[in-house]
Amino acid sequence: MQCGLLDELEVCEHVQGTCVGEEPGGGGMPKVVTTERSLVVLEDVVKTYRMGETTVTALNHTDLVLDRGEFVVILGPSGSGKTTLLNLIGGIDSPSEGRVVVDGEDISRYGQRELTLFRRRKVGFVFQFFNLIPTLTARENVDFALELTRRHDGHGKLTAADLLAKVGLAERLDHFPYQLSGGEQQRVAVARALAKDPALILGDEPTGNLDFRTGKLVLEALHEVHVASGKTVVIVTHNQPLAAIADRVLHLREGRVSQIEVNAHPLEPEGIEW
Amino acid sequence: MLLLKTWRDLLARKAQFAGLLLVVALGVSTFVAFQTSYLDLKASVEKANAELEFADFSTAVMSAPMSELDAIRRLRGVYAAEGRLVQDVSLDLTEGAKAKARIVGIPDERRPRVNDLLLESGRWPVAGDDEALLHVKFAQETGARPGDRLTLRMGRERREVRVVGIVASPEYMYAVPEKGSMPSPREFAVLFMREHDAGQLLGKPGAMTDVSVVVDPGANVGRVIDRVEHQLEPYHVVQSTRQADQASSFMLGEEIEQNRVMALFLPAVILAISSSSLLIALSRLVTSQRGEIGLAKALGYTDAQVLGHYLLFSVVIAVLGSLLGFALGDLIARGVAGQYVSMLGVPFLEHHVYPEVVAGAVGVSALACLAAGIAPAWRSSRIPPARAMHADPSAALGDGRVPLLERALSPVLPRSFTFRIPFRNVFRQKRRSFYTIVGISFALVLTVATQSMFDAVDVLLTRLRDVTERWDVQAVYDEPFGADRLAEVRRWNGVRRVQGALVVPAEIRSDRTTQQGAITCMEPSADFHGFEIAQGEQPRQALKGGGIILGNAAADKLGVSVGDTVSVKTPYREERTRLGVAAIANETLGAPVFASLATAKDLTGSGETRYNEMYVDAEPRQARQIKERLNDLKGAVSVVVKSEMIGRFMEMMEFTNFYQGLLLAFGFSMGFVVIYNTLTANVLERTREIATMRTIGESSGRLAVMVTIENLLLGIAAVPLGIWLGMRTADALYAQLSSEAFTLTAVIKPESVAVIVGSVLLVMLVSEVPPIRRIFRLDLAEATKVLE
Ligand SMILES: Nc1ncnc2c1ncn2[C@@H]1O[C@H](COP(=O)(O)OP(=O)(O)OP(=O)(O)O)[C@@H](O)[C@H]1O
Ligand SMILES: [Mg+2]
Repeated sequence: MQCGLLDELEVCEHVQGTCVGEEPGGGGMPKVVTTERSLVVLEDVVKTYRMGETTVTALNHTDLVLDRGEFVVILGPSGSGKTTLLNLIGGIDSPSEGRVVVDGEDISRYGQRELTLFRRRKVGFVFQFFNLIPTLTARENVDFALELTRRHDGHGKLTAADLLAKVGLAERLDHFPYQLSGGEQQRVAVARALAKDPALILGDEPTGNLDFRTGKLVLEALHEVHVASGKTVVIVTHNQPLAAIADRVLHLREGRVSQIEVNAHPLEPEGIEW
Repeated sequence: MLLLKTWRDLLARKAQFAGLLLVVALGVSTFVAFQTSYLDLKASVEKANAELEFADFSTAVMSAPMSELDAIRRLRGVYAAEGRLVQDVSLDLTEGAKAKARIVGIPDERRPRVNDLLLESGRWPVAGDDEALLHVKFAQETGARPGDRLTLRMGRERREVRVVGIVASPEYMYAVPEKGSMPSPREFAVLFMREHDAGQLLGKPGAMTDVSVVVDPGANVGRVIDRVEHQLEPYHVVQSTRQADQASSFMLGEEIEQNRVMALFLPAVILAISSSSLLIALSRLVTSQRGEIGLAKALGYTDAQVLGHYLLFSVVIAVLGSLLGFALGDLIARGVAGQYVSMLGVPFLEHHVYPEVVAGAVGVSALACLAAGIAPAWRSSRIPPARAMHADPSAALGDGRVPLLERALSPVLPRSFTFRIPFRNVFRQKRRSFYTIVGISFALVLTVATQSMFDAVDVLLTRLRDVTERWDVQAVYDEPFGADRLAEVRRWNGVRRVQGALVVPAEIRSDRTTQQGAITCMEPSADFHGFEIAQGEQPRQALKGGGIILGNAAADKLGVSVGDTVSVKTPYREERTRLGVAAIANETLGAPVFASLATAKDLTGSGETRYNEMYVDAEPRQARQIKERLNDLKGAVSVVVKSEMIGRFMEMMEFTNFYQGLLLAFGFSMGFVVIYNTLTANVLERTREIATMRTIGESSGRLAVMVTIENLLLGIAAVPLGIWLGMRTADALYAQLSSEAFTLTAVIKPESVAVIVGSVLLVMLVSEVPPIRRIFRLDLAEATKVLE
């Protein structure tokens, strides 16, 4: 489905080099610049949480465009709205105002059923706490996701074993999650995210619960996927050095994108230290 | 701080907490309701017996002059004594039907000092005016009122008496003419008449046939009986009956005993169920809070504080649960006792709050809750902080392999994860599966046990109708007749067959004890009674050989088995007759004893064969007409058509049905709550797992299907276990309940099983709805990020 938004918006060249984004939302006109390579478009998005009397504004008039094949890292202090942003992109949550367009679909007005289908087709998640299904083996956890996609569009070119091999777990196929280390569990989660062959892989602090070495293995797995199959990967993290491997780094502050860095020469995961 | 956490836990698990509270409240209220109504019933009966000076024993004589009473009153140990005429006559009802009327004399000028009457309406009769007091049971059944006239029949003679008052009597609270007979209030009227009028009516002026005695406090009843019998020796003593063996008192005693057993047994079962489901719930709570426990301990809370926290949780449940339960139980007891007492015709209603019940309720529930709370609480306090925080609470236990059964079934199982995940969960989440199976099967226990009581009665009735009672019309006469009358009836229109029997009142003595009752004497070939021989010879041989057949209850009471002998005393002969026990038969009703008509001659000392009962096989259409004709024969006491008898029996079960219905309601509520608690915990325990699957893109519908399949698998395993446990419970209950009056065995009909299984499935589905809805409404973002 072609989204109306794309027709109205001006198509321009992708900006090269490092730039500092203006604070959006203040000028009235949305400063959203999209190209045909745009995968995710947020337009004047507001997300508020109501808690009894008070309302918390987690995202405050945010505009954002993410391109296909980009590796994006989101940085920001605690409470700045990183998780909220990721949840909106992934269709786990819906914005209070504004529009979220992913791969041509405006998901901001989707109901539960449509969101479920959207997540099934387009998004792979990697959680901070792994969230594998404890009663299923590594292979079965991946198979579960594969089955979901197959049920949807019937193609079955991928196998769980291939996917697990990709993340370096060829030897651990029939282990249950509690028999795996945290890093291994997280790599299973990466393989599970890949199973659906999604356009977008989202990770909310995927290394947050891991030590440096295992965290790096997971990062490598994600990076490998990004390089090999050109998938768009968006990672939220607290680790400043991690930003070095990203094509672009978004800085969030008080619910707005305060700064966007473009890395002309992103590093390989091996090259970083934290 | 931990106090705050206790409070938060309660709030956070409102549904589960409410469920637990209900479980405890139901347990306590059953205990209170059944105990209190039992104690109320007992107190009411005792009050009636005391207020109305119920006789400690009565001695029946053929006929003695009223003047003997003075001598009896002077006997040692006699506190008060009254002599009176007691005799059964026939009462004409409308439409040519008849009832048995028992005429009981009362002193001319005053109220009786023994077996006093409680005047419920009208006035006391005046001697010489043929006035009578009518017992309240018959009055209630027939709508008779003071001012009505009743027509009595003694042989060919008719006499009218006028009802001037309605009374309750301690002797007829259970309106039965004799021990073991079924109450048929519509066909049994007790009329109390002034001594003078009764003497006139029965043609025995100045005579008494019954001496009723209240003994001095502390006197030995047996000795007093001996003295009274000795005093009445010249007038031919028929038998003395102690209060406990008196027809109504005996039945009431059985009823109260049943109540006592039920009041102890059922709450025990219910409390066992509630404390175990409490145990399960608290265990699960602790398991799911390992992380928090570890954290609390890491922060420096002591083991004792953590232990206290979880115990506090159980104490709160115990206290609130028993308060709620007590209020509910007392309310129910009030209703039940009132119903019960009025149904039984006990003229007084006592309702109390019994300190022992209060103490029991509070104590037992506190104990149960603490007992249930202590193990998980202890476990929680022992968890080392590091392990608690790190171990994944939902991690599967096991050896790290796909379950054997699943591997074996793999080729036939559907490949889809919709089936595989539930299947896997059942086997890998062993603790959860165990809890669920135990929970559901416990939920079934009470329902199955109660339902099996209904079924047992149903089976008993069917057995009575189809196996035991093989006749269409039964007629009982108070004077014996010969074979000529059988021949006469045989010629009647619609009569297919007539069999005669002689029922002889008898005292049967074994080495162990003595039983008052009757022996039914019949032709060895007679088949109006269907036997199910448990031990010994077939009935025909047994009777032909001159032996007796004992019902199992009689054999148990006498403590005899086949081959033993008993000695029998009848009112017709001075000497005792020794008879061999030739067979023991399973009898569902009463404690009957059978012998042959040849043996009857020995027992009565009479040379010719006489009968006092007739069993008629009749054309169904003519049964009623035959009944009327049998009624018109001289000396007819009662004539019943079998279908009417079964109907009467069902009437008798009415209250039992009410009582058991109440139990069934308790059982069902209990089951519902327990299943609800179990499933709620089941679903909520895997909040994160389900949320993750949803995030990945699994649809709500499929997740609901998966949860349902898993619960169904567990339910399928639990149902047979629950039914088995329920049947064992019913067996245990029957072992306590079976008595001289009836013998029951636990049975459950397939249709009941079907209904129960259906309800369990329904309850399971309903119980799933709230937690599933909760998970579906859950914020995915939250559920996937929080480490539970
Ligand atoms: N469900 C919720 N209800 C109320 N407020 C919420 C909710 N979720 C997030 N918030 C608030 O919204 C703001 C942004 O939250 P968000 O989780 O996006 O922060 P974050 O940048 O991911 O922080 P962190 O780095 O600590 O994870 C915070 O102020 C938070 O308190
Ligand atoms: Mg966050």
